[in-house]
Amino acid sequence: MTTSADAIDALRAHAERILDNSAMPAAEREDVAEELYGHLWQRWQDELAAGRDEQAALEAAIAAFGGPSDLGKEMTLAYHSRLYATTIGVLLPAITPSSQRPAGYTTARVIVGLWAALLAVGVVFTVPTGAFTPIRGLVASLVCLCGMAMAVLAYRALARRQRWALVYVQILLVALILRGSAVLADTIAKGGVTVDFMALVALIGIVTIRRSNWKSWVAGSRPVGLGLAAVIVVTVGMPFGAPVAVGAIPDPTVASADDLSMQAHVDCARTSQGVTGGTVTVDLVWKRTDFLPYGPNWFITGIPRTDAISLASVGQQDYSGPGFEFPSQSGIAYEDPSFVDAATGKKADADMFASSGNTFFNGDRMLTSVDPATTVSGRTYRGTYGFTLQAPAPADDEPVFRVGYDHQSRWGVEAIATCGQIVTGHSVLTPEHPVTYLP
Amino acid sequence: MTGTRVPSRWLDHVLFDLLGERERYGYELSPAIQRAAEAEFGGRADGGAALPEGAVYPALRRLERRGLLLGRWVEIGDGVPRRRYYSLTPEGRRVVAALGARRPAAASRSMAAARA
Repeated sequence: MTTSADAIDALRAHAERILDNSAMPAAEREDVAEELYGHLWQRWQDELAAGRDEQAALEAAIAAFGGPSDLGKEMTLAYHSRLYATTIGVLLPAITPSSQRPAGYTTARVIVGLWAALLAVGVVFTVPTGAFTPIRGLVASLVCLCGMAMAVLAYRALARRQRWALVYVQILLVALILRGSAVLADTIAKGGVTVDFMALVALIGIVTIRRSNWKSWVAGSRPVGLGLAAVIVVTVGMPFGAPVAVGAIPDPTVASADDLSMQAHVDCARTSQGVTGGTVTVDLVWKRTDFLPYGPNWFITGIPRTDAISLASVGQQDYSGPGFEFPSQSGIAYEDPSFVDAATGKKADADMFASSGNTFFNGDRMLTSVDPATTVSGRTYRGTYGFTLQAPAPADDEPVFRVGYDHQSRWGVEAIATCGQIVTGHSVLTPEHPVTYLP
Repeated sequence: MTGTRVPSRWLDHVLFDLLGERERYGYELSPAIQRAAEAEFGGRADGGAALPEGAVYPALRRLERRGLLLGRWVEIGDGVPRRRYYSLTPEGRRVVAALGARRPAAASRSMAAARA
């Protein structure tokens, strides 16, 4: 048998060069190199047997085998093909017997499909329902679109045994369960119980998937790198965080909380026993009044076409931050509020809200309706709320009021003041205590 | 594509046909694939083969990773490098059966040439 150390080295080097031009798992490289070398060696032997000299036989074998660049690329694709979008790739899931699929396969696909459908609803309805201002709505809609596109890809990739789709499902399930837990904890803290449907489905899914043998199902697919993992985390997480995050995006297309100035003044009447009553005065001035039209909000949710000023007693002077302290007095009687043009006295109340009673306790609110469409920028509008305490409040326990302006729960301005104080309102991304609209 | 002008799907079909007949190794497959490729796509202008011989290996490895082929090493001895033989797996046979009517006419024409 003809052998030549130099020729054999050259053949091995050609096989190695091909693999140098590929991105394949290191564990398989030696195996593939041996197979390529075996082919080259046999071809070289055949060329020698045909009468060529060693050098010519070597060159012919290498030339027939193909160049390192093209073969290297092909080898890379062999190990990292993505969706394998050929006839055979498309047929694979269809012909895989259901008995060979992991037990959680259907559950996982149903969850991803449901998630994609929910995001599709978000894409379609986020902007027109006016849940956000236009720019924010557009951003939220795009976020939903990205999330939906990824969910659809994952839905299809699951059937094609792609490892990244399995990672996607696992991250989605964890995110849904976390969100459901947060919702549950929040509602329990408020005295109720709300179980998130998707979280419940996700819980079933994660139990089922953990029991299944997914490793063999995705064994032939590409490992998930850090970059792809980051994309998955972002596209899963974005729709969850978007409602909060988009609130921070400035939107110059419409007036916002920054265009409304509020000043609240609490003027108290006193006797020797303490505060017995007084007046809360709220002055509002709009720099511009091109608020986002209410649009289909009215038809879809029944929310009146008006904004609201809410006045709430938040306790006495021991109030020291957000949230309500327990009341140290039983109630405050108030006179019917008025909302007028401060200069002319002309009524500016839209009369949308009914009073629920003449006494409100800590946490209750008096509501005044304001129609921004009928107000004029630059003018001062004044809300006046007279109040009487059921029992005199001593100097160390005087009433504290929160005045809140709520624009369709999109944004708000808030001021907290006690007797003798004049407080300028500050914007809040989402009103801390959204107005409950009365029927 | 497989580095030249031959679609990988076409090559998959030819490999399924050849390996459906019996177990083979890469070098053994090469002449039949060359004949089929030249019949279907013609030779290159420079007189070279339509498909480099090495192109069969990425295809074999890809189909093996998909679970459609099974490869096994066979020792030859006498200084000859060992060979990796490939055969269809049961799943591979199901794919071949499922492809049935969808099989491109080109693949059938090519196979006639490959067997010649």
